[in-house]
Amino acid sequence: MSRKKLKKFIFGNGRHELMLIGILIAELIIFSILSPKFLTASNMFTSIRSFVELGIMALGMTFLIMSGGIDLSVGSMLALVSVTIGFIYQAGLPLGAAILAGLLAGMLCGALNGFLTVYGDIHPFVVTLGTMSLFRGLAYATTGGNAVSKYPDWFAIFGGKYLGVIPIQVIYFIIIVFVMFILLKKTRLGSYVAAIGYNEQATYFSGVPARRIRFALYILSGVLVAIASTIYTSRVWTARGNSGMGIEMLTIAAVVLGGTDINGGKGSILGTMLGVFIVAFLENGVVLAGIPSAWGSMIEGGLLAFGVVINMKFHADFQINIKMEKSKSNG
Amino acid sequence: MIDIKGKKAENSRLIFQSVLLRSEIPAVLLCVILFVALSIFDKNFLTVGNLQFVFRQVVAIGIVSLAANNVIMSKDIDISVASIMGISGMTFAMMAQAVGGIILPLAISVLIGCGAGLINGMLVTKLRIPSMVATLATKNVFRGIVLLIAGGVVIVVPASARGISTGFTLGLSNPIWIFMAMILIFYILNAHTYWGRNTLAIGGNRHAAIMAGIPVDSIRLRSFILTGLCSGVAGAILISQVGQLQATIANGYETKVIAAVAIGGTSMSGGRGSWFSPVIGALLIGLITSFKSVLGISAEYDDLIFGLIVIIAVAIDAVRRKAEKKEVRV
Repeated sequence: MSRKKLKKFIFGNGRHELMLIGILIAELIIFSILSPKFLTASNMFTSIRSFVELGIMALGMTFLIMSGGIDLSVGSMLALVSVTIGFIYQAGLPLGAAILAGLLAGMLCGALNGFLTVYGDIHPFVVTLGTMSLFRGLAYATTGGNAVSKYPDWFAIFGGKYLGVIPIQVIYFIIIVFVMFILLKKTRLGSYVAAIGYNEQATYFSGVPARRIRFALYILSGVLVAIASTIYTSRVWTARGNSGMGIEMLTIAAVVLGGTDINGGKGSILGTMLGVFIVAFLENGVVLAGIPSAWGSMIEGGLLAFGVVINMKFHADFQINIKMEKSKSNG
Repeated sequence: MIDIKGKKAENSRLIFQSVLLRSEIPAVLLCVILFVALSIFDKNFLTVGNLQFVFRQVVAIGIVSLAANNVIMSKDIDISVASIMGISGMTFAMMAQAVGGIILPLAISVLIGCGAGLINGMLVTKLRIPSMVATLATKNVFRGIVLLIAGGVVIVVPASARGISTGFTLGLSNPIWIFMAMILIFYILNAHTYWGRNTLAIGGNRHAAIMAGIPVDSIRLRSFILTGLCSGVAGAILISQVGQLQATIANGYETKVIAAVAIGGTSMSGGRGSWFSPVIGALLIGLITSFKSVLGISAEYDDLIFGLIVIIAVAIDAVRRKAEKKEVRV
């Protein structure tokens, strides 16, 4: 077999998911050697409980990155929505209204990001870097260092209850994943998203309202973050300003590792899910194995860079991608 | 006959207009307003000691912004600066404790900063990772290194090494001298060398820059190394200001640095900016910080304020770009 053929055999289309599964299995083996508690049913369920939020946010991020955008503010948005829910409830309104207000807050945050990015024509990275500080600051300013941790019992239906042995948020998660999968694979919107990420101008000239779709995707991401935040608040039973610190990095790492092209145009829900599993089990395993958490964050940083590089290798049109990147800077 | 007088009037009007339309002007005006307001509200503001204190605070931000400005002008971004400052600050503190003196620890921490910048630059130019993702990753990695080495220990910087930021030379605080030297260097680099011109060209249109034969990758790499170098210097200054090493040192500085560059008037979309933007931006941040303390606003609002600054600055930039586009079309 020639070298070229070998390369194609290893990096050929469709093998990306296989590689991710390989990484996941290797990770599971390593951590179960390092810690006997890791590969037990109870730990699996605990760690699944804690990464549903990450998974939901990664779904929105997949759509965004596929369309050539990015959102760094998801962690701060999570905190802001959580604080909105907690403090509006504390102010005396019913919890249902507070949750709706949280959803609205998430939509507004997403709309702000989308408006500045799409209609202000500013790079989303800069915009969301600014709103990352802004939302975090708003959350801190609202709480003033306090936390709300008194809720009625029914709040547990979002993230505190179990159906048999299965944590309830896993059910929500599966439903959301299914909806997003259909949205990306089976609707016109899904192909528009990929087309916009690949070449926005050409898509626009083909009669697709590219800007409106990009704007809508930011709102979609905001809504998903709000859902994640509701589940999160219900799980930890407290609303405070510093929740979700640094989770944007995990989300982006999971999405990129899952094969979504950071320059836009390519991505899959299945890949993102595998990426989420890899990142989440890493987080969990590092803690259980007693490794300093600094190693965990370093490995995650490395995974992010590794994910981008491996994506380029995997994509058959690697060379075209570079050309695209160069010509993109024209606009 | 050409009406020379009329031409002259036209010319001076154009010059006047082009000065007023410069992107640094809003920041300069804001600076003047804040300066006047502060000297009215705060009796102690207009003393030499206090002014030095105000500007000494922003030296670290200012030095990093000067270099990060170049990265942003060439349409890249570096958000790992805070972690590089952490690493080099840690190196400075440890070397100062182990060896003593100022020059050797400073040199080594600057070298470490350069190395970190080199890693960023290599990831961006050789592996072709978009700069935002590459530096997001290295931000975590560098901070992780600091946490691993300095997580549990407290290292006090020896008094002899703190001279770099607490000492005075000719009546001026040392960091201010360093800042002024850096401004001079970057003024020459940006305004009087091919390198500065090429940086703007790359940011304006990378493809055209490649076609024009500009060594694009090499210039981007050098911008990243320079940012690492400046973060090294700033880290050393910051740690000797604080006096003892904490693993979270300089956390969140990347937003402040980007806020300084953006509010100073450098376009976040690349291709536009000058050496003056980060200087005026850093001064503005210093004034805002002291205004905050006069009004009694606590540090909890820092995130809110700096986030707002970035958003407002990029919004102004967007409006300006739209207006310019219209002008060109007409």
